[in-house]
Amino acid sequence: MANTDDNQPQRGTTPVPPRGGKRTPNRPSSGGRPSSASNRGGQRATPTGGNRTAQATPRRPGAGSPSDRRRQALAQQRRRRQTLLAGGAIGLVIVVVAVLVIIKVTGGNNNTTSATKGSTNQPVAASVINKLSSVSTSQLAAAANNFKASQLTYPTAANGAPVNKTGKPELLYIGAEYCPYCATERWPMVLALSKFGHFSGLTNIHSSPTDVYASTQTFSFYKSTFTSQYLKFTPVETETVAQKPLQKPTAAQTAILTKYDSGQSIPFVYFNGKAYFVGAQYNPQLLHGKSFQEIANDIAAGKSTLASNIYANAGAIVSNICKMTDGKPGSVCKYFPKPINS
Amino acid sequence: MASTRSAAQRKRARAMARQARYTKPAGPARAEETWADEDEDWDTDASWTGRFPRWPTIAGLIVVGLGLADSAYLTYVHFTSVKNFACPETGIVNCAAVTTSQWSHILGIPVAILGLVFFVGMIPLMLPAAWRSQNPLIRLARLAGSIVGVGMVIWLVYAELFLIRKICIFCTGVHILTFALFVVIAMGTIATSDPEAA
Repeated sequence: MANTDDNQPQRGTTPVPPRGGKRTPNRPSSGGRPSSASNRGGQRATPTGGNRTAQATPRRPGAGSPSDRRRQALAQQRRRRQTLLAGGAIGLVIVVVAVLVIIKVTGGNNNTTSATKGSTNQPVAASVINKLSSVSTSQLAAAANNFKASQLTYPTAANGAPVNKTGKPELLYIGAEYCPYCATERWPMVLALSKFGHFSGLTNIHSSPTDVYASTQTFSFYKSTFTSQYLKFTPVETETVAQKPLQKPTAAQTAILTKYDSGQSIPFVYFNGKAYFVGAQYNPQLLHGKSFQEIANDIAAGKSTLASNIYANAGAIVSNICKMTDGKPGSVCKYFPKPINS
Repeated sequence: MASTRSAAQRKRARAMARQARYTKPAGPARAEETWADEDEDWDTDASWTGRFPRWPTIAGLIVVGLGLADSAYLTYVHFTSVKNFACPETGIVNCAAVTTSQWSHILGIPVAILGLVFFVGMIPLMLPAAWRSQNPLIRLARLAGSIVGVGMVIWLVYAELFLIRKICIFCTGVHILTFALFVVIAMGTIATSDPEAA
C-alpha cells in the first residue's frame, strides 16, 4: 500500500496554507477578470489534498507566467492602438475646425455669394400677379375678421397730416430690399393693392442672406409702377439686398417716419394720416424656406397657415386703404365697413 | 511499502481518519470558503473600480446636461420668436440670423430639435450601467452617435463661417459640448473596454 500521509508536502507543489488562513490569489495586475465563471470553476481546488494544492496555483493565473505576460502585452498594445486612434480622431476634428477658422480669418470674408453682391431682381411673371389677384376681397375680409388681435398685428389708427394734400390719397411705404420684415410685408401689400389697381415692373428678390429670416423670397417695389384711379402708392426702398444705398426718402417722408416711428424701423407704411404700421404684421418664419413660386401657390390655394396670415394682413391693409379713399371702390370697400386696426 | 510504516505512523494515520470522519475538514473547507469570498469580491465595485472608472459617467452626464439645456433653449426660441434670444447682434455675432437661415433645417427638421434629440439620446448611454456594459451594440451606438454629432458640428461651423457668415453663440456652445462629449466617449470607451477581449 502506498504512503497515504497527506499532510506531508509533496515536492514541487505549493504548501497547503495554515488552517483558516486566507489564500492570496495572484490576480492579474491589470485587474483582469477571468473570462468566464466556468473557467474559474474549473480552476477551483478539489477537496483532495495533493491535487488541491497543485491546482490552486494555476487557477488564478499569475502575472509572472509567460502566457499572462503575452496576454498583458497584447492588451497593452491594443489599448495603445485605441488611444492613438482616438487621439488622432480628436486631433483631426480640432485641425479641421482650426483650418476653417483660419481660412475665414485670412480671406474667407472676401467670398461673397451672388445674393449679397446686389439685388437679384428678376421680373415677376404675370401669372404670379394673376394668382394673387384671384384671391377674392371677401376672403381677405373673412380672414381679417377671424384673426384675433393677439395673433396678428394690425395697423394703428392715426389722425395725422396727409402725405399729399391735393389729388389722390397717398399710401407711403418705406423699406429696404435687404430687410426680411419688409420682404414679409410686401406679400400682403401686393395682394391688398391689387384690389385697387395694377402693378407693373415688380421684381423678385430675396432679403439678405446674412440677416434674420435669411433670403426670404419677396418682391421689390424699386422701379415698379402702381396704377390706380383711387390712390397713389409711393414706395421707397432705401437699400439694396447688399445694403447699398438705393432710394432716399424725401424730407417730408422722413418727417412722417420720424413722427410715427422714432426708431425709424422698417417697413413703415403710412395710410395718408389715417393709420400706420411698423414692422412685419405676421410671422416671417412662415415664409422660411419657401420659393417665390411656392409662396404664390400657397396664397392662391388659400389653405395654409401662411395664406390665412397673409389674407388677414392684406384684409387689414385693404380696410385702411378704404378709409383713405372714403370707401372707394365700393365693390371692394363694402366688405370693410370700418378699418381693422389694433 | 505499507509494511515499512512504523506503528507511530499507522496510529497517527488512524487518528486523522477518525477526525476526518467526525469533524469538519477545516483546512480545505476554509480554503474553499476563502476563494468563494474572493470570487464574490471579483465582481464587486472594488474589483471593477480599476477597469470602469467613474470619470466617463460623471463627465459625460455633465456635458450631456449642459448640451441638453443649451439645445432646449435653442428649440424654445425656434418655436417662439427669435426676439426671445438673449444674444447680441453685433458684428459677426447674430444668433437669429443663424437660426432662421436656410441651413437651420436638415431634411426639413430644425437643427435645434436634432440637437435636443441627440443629447436626450445620449443620456442613457452615459449612465454607469451603459459604461460598464461590454455589449458591442451599446458601445458602438455611443461611439457612432458621437461621431455623427461631431460630423454635424463641422458642417454647421462651416455653414456659419462661410454660408451664413454669422456666429450664433448658443449654437457654438452646443458645438463645443458635442465635441467635448466626443472626447469623453472616445477616451471613456478605451478606458472601459475589456483589455482581454479579442
